[in-house]
Amino acid sequence: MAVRTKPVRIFESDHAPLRLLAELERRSPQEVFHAALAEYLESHRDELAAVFTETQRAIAAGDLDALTVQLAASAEAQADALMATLPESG
Amino acid sequence: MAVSGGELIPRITARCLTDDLGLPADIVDHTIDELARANDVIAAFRDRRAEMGSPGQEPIRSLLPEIVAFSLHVGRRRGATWHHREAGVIWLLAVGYHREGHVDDAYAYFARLKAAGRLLPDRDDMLAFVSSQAPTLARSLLNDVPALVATAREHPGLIHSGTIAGRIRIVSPATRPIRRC
Repeated sequence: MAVRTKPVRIFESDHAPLRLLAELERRSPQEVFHAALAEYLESHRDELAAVFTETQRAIAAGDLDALTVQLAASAEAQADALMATLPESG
Repeated sequence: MAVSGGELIPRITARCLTDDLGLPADIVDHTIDELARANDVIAAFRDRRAEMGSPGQEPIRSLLPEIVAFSLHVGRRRGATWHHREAGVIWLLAVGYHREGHVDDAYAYFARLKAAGRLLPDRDDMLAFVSSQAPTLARSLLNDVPALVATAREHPGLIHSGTIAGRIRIVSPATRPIRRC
């Protein structure tokens, strides 16, 4: 059965290792990425659960300040992710 | 992050604000209405781009093909505006005077900024944008999430779609009742 895919940008330096891993494992890069994501979710289960719980609590309590702090904590990562979507220029 | 039509979030790069418009960098996070009162190019940017939800009509040829930015006309001045689709933002990148054939012509200036890698928003611009959105997004989450949850509880067995913060779409893959096994 065909599995639908969507594009995702990765760091340029990760591209060659990803292709190499896929070839070594005789899997597609998508399968390697999928497996890596599953492992990440498993290994960060506790941290993610804590973030979800705190966010749930803030929403349930209507705690605007706590929610703002939660969202602001990821600002650096969000900024980097958006920078990666800028067109090449210069 | 999916963006659902309608208004675009207006942002001005710090370089444009200071170098081109002569305004202090520390007002970059002021509301667009406050900035529009300080400068008529910003007012036109707000009215014709952000509020209309329009990226523009006239592409700036000197920036193609890498950057599809559009020309904003305000008297003899020209602004370069660019729709950053992934962020849901319309950026005012640069402003200059249109002097046909002159070395200081706005379009030649835009091309020089592009070549120098100074036209598009830099990381500080992006961080300022993301940080500015945290309180807005938080406020929207407090309003939108409980409403979506309430709707879902009223109609159990259906997958619902909705919008968070006016621009993040939650799209359902199906609208038929979920079959329970």
